[in-house]
Amino acid sequence: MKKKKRKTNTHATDNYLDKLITSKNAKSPVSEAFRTIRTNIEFSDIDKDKKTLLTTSATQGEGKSVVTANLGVTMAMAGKRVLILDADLRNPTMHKIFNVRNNVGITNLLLNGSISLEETLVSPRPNLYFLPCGPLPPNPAELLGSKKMRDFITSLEEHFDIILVDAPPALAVTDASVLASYLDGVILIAASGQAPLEQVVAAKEQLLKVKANILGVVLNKVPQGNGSYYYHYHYGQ
Amino acid sequence: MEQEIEIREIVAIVSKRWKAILALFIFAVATSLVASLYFIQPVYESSATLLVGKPTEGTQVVIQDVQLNRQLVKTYEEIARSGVVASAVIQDLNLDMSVNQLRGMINVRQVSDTEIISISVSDNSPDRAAFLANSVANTFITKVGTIMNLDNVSIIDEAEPSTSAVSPRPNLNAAIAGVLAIMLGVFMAFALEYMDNTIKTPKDVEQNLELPLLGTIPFFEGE
Repeated sequence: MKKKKRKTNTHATDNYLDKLITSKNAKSPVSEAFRTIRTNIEFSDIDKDKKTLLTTSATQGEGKSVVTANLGVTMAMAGKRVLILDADLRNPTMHKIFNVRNNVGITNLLLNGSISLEETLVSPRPNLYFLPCGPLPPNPAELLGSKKMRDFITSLEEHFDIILVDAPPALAVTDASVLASYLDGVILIAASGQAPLEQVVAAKEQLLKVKANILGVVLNKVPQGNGSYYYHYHYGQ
Repeated sequence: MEQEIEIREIVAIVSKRWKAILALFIFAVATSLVASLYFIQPVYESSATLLVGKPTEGTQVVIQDVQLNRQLVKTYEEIARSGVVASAVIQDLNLDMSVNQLRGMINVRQVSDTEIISISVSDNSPDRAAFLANSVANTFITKVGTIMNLDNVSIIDEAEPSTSAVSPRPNLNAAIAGVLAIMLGVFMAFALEYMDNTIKTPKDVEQNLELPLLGTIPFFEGE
């Protein structure tokens, strides 16, 4: 008889708020930028009620998970019930941003029935819920494309207003494309001065191949300061 | 509006890499100073000045003489520069150099529209420069005697060893190196900017991705 130890995700330290700038400093220009993005997502595709959104980037290290976490915080602040799923089953980082352990998560829920959603869900702040990825599976792409996973996400939709799914980079592995094929919308995150243009274009083509509905691009890590010419918008043609 | 953006872009491109440009500038100036002060052999120059036309003793200066002398100056300059003088100097002093080498060290010029000729010699040793300048001047006077059959050149000033080198000029070299470094630095900043094919601005998103821009997030600590 093996005694099963119940694992839970608990907080470890309290200095993790640097990355969660929207939670730490809601009045900062960065938080304002996230509010703008929230609004633009709301109005980006009026015909369709979009509940499940995938966030991905072309390459590694473009700040995808940080953007997803802060977007979730910003949406939760607007009174939406938000769920963030860490679907990066290869290199999960979301739990570090919310400063929780990654002992149990999505993979447990998919692969063994004995753990309930309530035990794995973490709520970093009111209206915001987070589901870590859990132990890394040997076959991430197959798992994400499985009927089990689709049914799991469908079952979550009735409990939340919006579900943000954080995926691995679109060009590195097929995982993002697999998820994009059945989720409602995709947000492509690109780090300014970091992602080569042709790779971002390749990521876009890759996502369009699987009939993904790309809502738009979030330009991340834009340099600020004097002489910065990045904030020039052209109105009209 | 377009113009303003262009200027802002140029300022941004340069200011983005100002540290590298400054480093290049400091490196170039330092290198040129070190090279000029420690590695380049200094060159010293001494000149002897000669007067065409003997100083008249007692008699009045005749205007025709003066005009004749002025016309002679050009001829004398060429004689002073000639290989005849140089080879004679080499023979007299038993110098270990070719005629052309010595001619390259000699500089002959007419002092602005007068009957005075200045013969200067450049050399790495100040003493040798003075010594050679005097030798060339004396040999030249002798040669004028044999070639022109005239004895109307006299030395006004003998060449003295000079205390300061004419080259290298560390300050001038440093200034040139500094200006070139800044030009090169700015050029490289632009080259790098145009070689950089990363996505940077909302304009890049519009033009290359044909996707709506949902927003821009300023870089913040913790990212």
